Amino acid sequence: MKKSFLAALALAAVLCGTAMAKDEIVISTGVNMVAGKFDPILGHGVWGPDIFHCHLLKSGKDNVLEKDLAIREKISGDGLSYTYEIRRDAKFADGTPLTAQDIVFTYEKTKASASAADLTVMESVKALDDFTVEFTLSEPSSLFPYALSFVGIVPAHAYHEAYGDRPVCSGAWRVVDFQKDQQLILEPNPYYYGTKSPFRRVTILKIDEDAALAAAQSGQLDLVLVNSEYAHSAVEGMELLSLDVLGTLAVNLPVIPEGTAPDGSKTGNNVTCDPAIRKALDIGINRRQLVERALNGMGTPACSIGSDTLPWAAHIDFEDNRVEEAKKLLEDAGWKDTDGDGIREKNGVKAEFTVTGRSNDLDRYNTVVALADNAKALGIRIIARSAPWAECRKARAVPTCWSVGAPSPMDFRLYYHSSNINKAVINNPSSYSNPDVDALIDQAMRATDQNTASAFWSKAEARAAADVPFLYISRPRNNYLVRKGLRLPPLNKIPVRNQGLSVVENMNEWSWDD
Amino acid sequence: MNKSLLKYLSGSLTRMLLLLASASMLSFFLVTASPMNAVDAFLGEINVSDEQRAHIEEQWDLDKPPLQRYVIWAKRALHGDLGRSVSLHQPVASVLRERFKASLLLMGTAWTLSGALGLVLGVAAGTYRDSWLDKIVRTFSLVLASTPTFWIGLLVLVVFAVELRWFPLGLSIPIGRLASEVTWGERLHHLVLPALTLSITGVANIALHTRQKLIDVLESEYVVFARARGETLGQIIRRHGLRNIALPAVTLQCASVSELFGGSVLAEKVFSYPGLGATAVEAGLHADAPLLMGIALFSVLFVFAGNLAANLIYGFVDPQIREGGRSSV
Repeated sequence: MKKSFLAALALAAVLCGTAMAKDEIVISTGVNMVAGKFDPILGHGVWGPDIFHCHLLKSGKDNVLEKDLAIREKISGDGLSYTYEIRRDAKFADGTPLTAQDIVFTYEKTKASASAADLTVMESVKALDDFTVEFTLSEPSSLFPYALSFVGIVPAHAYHEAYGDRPVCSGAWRVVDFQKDQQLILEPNPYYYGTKSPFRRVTILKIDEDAALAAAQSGQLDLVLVNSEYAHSAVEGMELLSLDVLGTLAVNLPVIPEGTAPDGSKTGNNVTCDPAIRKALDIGINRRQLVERALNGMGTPACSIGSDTLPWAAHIDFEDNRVEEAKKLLEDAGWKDTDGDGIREKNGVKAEFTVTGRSNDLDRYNTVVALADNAKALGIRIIARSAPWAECRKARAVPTCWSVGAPSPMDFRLYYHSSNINKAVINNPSSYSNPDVDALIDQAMRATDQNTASAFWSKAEARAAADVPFLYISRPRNNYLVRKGLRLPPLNKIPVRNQGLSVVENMNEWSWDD
Repeated sequence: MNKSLLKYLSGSLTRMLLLLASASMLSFFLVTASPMNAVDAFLGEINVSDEQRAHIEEQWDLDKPPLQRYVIWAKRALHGDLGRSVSLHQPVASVLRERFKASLLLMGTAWTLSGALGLVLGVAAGTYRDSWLDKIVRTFSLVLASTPTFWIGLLVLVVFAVELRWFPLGLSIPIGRLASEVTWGERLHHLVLPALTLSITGVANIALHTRQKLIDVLESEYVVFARARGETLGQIIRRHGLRNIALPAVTLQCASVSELFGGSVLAEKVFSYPGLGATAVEAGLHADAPLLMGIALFSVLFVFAGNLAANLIYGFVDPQIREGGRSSV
């Protein structure tokens, strides 16, 4: 702490000085933006906003999928063939036109690579002519169009091994200079078909989170991501911008009793497997208070994965902090405090379990601590423990605090479908299994249009919510200090959390007030 | 003599190859045994299907048993291919090249500074033994030798960057400046504080050893004889002292290359200076096995080169102890 404070002080001193010209801005949006790897083939667009490439589709207004590069879409009745006609005015930053061949190259290469973009369902892709592509799937998947919004199109003629550091792209920005671990310098792509930025140059700086506030006070930064702890600090010449993001903090509650998974790891929990415990927590905790205590008030209470922020999510909202009702629920289920230690028991089992919080995400650990305090009132003892993520994520027996939420319902399927139990360490950590939910998810997957799919997803979520395999708690906000006069038009949607990057998504529309 | 030097060099080379092989094995199995998972580190919080996960593991050979993976790696390494960094998405060799350039400037400057300063201070203290100058140098050295690098770094920052504002903190070039537009003056300006910090701990070591050796020399019989002959202190130091004290200084200075490497990790972190040290930390945090192996091998080579240099320089400074050259003396 002392170290970071000193570093912050020192940084403030260094950054003090000349103000930048009006056609340039200097921002800092966390360390990830300056980590490089702007390579869609390896999954760049899955992690965060991709301001360098254009995509066939994009997550648009109200988080509904919209056309970006695509101008016409045709999906076959069996859901196995997706055909897209693309715009003809798209060009790469070197002036070369973007054609269907580039799309085929991008998708084939991505599928073959070790990528965070999951294209396992795509069987093949081919160009029908210069401006039409056809994707063939191995099975119907309404999730596939989301992949089209992740994978940015790379130029077949200019792709190389180190592409991720110097993308030659068709999006709003291009890289002028990239000094790894220090700064990324961008300029508008003159060939971009969308809104072109009025700035001549944008510098994105890498600064440690601790030093961010000091950096803002120095006056040389125009926008800086700040920790919720510092959100209320006044900085001369700057205003707080607090953005809602997708990213709901939730604790998984295993629905099966303790046992052993096929791989030998522990699974299930003897306390949370009782529906009464899960239900009592869901209605009995005080989410507003959790937001105040754990997030310094910089967040929104959340009762479900996406509520009104995602088109496919069920609109679940209920009154919580119903302590008396929750207590009665526990009493009726046989959880009584017979030895007077404030913790209920049932058949010799104490209503007590551990929940871990990721040690490098303070929001999550604080949330678990505050949750433990809330649960005390119900007679349930939650032991909050901080642990590295590698340990936390093995949450089949010891619940942990997750940050869930993405435009795609992919996560929902991985978390709730019974076929994902005991898969890939983190899938379905509650070992939740409900044939109705499975059937609804399968129907959603087979749908050939997003509206139909969304309706099934919503139903599945509403049905699953009654079983409380996840305890949804809150959505932390992303907080930025923005120089007065710098205008950021609203995104018209709720972006992904990913460490504060989302704000740059419409950076091409930012401008200075005159 | 040439023959014996050749023999010595080939012996060294064999030892180096053995060292590289064992270092690579050790680091490989340490990485394998760590609870970190490269695929998880790569994906972060992204969820993918089981099939995609298997696909990634297959691409990275993670589906194969560790021994087989090591053999694959070693075969490729023998052909000069160190693999691709999982976290930086770049060939390991090019990462090493890129980051070492920055580190070399930093470490080279620090190394030269600590050697020169240490020698001067040690000679001064040894010459005027028990004077106030000696006391100052001794106290200064003892304090520095027991102070961690990062702490010195922070102190230097507070004094020179925050209070006096003479130097910038962090980064190796100014904000918003293209690398091609940066002048050498600006580069040096950003280099001063980290290099100073990194050199400080080395200074103490060299100064103390040089001082002690000089005192031994001054008490020796040949110096007594020289004094009897009427040589002045300056002449004695020049003629008999420097040649004798150069040996421990050179040894220490070359052996300090390993400490330099370790110190650079901390100094680079404190000053956000993008070099090999900072990269090693990142590689560790991301369970980036290929990159960690590359850095481990590189540091072995680097330290080995330092020690070899010390041995070779011995021969020039003092032919009597030229290793392997006894027969020709």
